Amino acid sequence: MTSKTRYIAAAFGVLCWMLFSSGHVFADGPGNLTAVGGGPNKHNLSVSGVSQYRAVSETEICVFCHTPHRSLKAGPLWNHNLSTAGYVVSSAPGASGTQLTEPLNPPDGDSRLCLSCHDGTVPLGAVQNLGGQSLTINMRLVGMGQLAGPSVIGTNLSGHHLVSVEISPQLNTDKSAQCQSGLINWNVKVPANIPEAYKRATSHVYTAPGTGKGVQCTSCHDPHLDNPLGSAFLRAPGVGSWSGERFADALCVSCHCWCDTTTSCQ
Amino acid sequence: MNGWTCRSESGRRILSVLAVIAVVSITVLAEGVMPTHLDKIKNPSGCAGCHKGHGKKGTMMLSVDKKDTCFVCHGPGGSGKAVGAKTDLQSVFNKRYRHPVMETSAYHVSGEELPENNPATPRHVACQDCHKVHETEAGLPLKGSRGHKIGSVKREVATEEYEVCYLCHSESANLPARSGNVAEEFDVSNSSYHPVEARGRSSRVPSLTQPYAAASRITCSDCHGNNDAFGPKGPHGSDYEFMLKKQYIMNETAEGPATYDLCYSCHNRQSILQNESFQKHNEHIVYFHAPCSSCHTPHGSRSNPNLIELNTSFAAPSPMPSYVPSNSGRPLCFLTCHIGGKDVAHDNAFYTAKKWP
Repeated sequence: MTSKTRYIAAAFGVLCWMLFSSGHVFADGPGNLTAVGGGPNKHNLSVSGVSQYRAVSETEICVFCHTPHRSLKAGPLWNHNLSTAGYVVSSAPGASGTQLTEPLNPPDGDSRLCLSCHDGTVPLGAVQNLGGQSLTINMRLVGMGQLAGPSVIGTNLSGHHLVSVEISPQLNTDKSAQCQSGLINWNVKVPANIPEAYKRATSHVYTAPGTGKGVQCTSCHDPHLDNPLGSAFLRAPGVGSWSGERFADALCVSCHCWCDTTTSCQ
Repeated sequence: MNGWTCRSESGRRILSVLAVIAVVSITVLAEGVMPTHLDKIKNPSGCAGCHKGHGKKGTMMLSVDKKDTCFVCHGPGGSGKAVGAKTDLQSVFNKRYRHPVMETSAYHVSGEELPENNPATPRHVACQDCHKVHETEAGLPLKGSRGHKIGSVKREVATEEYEVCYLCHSESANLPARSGNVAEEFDVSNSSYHPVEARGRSSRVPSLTQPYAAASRITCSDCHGNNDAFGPKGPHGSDYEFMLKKQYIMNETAEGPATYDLCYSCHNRQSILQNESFQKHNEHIVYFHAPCSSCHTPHGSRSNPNLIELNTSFAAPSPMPSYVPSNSGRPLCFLTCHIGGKDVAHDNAFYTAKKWP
């Protein structure tokens, strides 16, 4: 490692430390993983993490996903090697008979980043840049291999919520027609009524010109969110919550609305 | 004066109690009835009770196979039991006569056109064919369900139970050979029909038990449903053929209260056996062991009043009209009835010999 790269790595480490210690990202600094009101974050894959897949010795937390240099354009300072797998997606009309559009294949935007570990085809520790080198970090349980176990989504994305689909006013209009004909009970809200955090960048176009925003993995999951283990980084409570709309789950009704509820559906 | 004050104070107390009751009632009513599956008291997991963001492949993000989804709660060990509901439908679907949900629901396609117009489509039934799982409410299992097309009008939401039944049991192109078009059988232009679509044609039905009267209407599920009166209601499955709720013997049998239990639930046995509707009922049923179905059809008759359709396995028609109706319970039949190992001729000689009125 040259002195220059050492300097850069140290600077990035300091940046990470600042982020964690100020509670902006994982809410806990490295080595102190009992968050206030939250819980340990399984995406801390460093040796200090709680994930059973954590690194054998690597101490940097961000490096598994992010790097300040030599990063990939696919995401923000993206460091993890991307998947080149072929995917199966729910093609319209798909399994449900009510699906109106075919999602991008392969998925784009944030979903592509998530799938770089979660499709199970790329070694968990494979990064573009660590100390100036492309290498694979040695991980507990899987070593130099791919993520395994229940967190692997695989490459068949049918049966999962669609990702890389634009959310547009026209989608709401077309879903309303399905409501009218009794095909569905739950509509997709107009984009204006969906919280910003749920609308993620996508190049999928439902109707031209596209809004550039749609559903991605990160619509429901915030990978940086400190959560009790097992709660899947959900942006809103997914189970057992009480929300205004027909007592349905807060997460689901952030984007979906009961067909009859014209106020929130429009 | 004191008395008045006292009375007015207690009056005020009563009024305030009434006001509280009124407010509570209005609040409850304004909330409306919650669709059962969206009610977190009954389904604490909400959407996630059935759907997972990362669900089963080939299904609508369901956590188990589509055909098993309902039975997670509606099975013998299902969570439905926990909320005190009579919801073990899986066991009912294991009865001998059933809607074959477990065997054929895989053929169901969301949004499919019904009645089926393609004879090649496998005959099938899924829970969703009858029930809108997001809309059903306690006591309203068919809320929001689709109904049968009436003329060229596609009725999206059924207002009557029979409209839901007709989706599959009317002019479906894939009807099995043994099944008839039930909508035709109940057609109100028929000479007689059980009063499903409208009140019956006959104003003289002396056997009817309370609360039924000649103007009453009944539903398909009044006859078709679970034979276990304490089990889940509805036409899901029964130990009796045709998925009937009660026994309905169709062979030559000794009469008894249980033999025609189904018919006797609305048509008083004593009245029937005392010949109040037809003067030879007793002789036919008790003496000759003729079942109700030897002369009657349960749904409707195109040409005969009083649901008369002579069952050809008993009655061979003569060259004359087989059945001459009567308004006073004294019809005439011209036929030969095979019963009790004998052929009993109903002919002019039979009637003139005063064996018959």
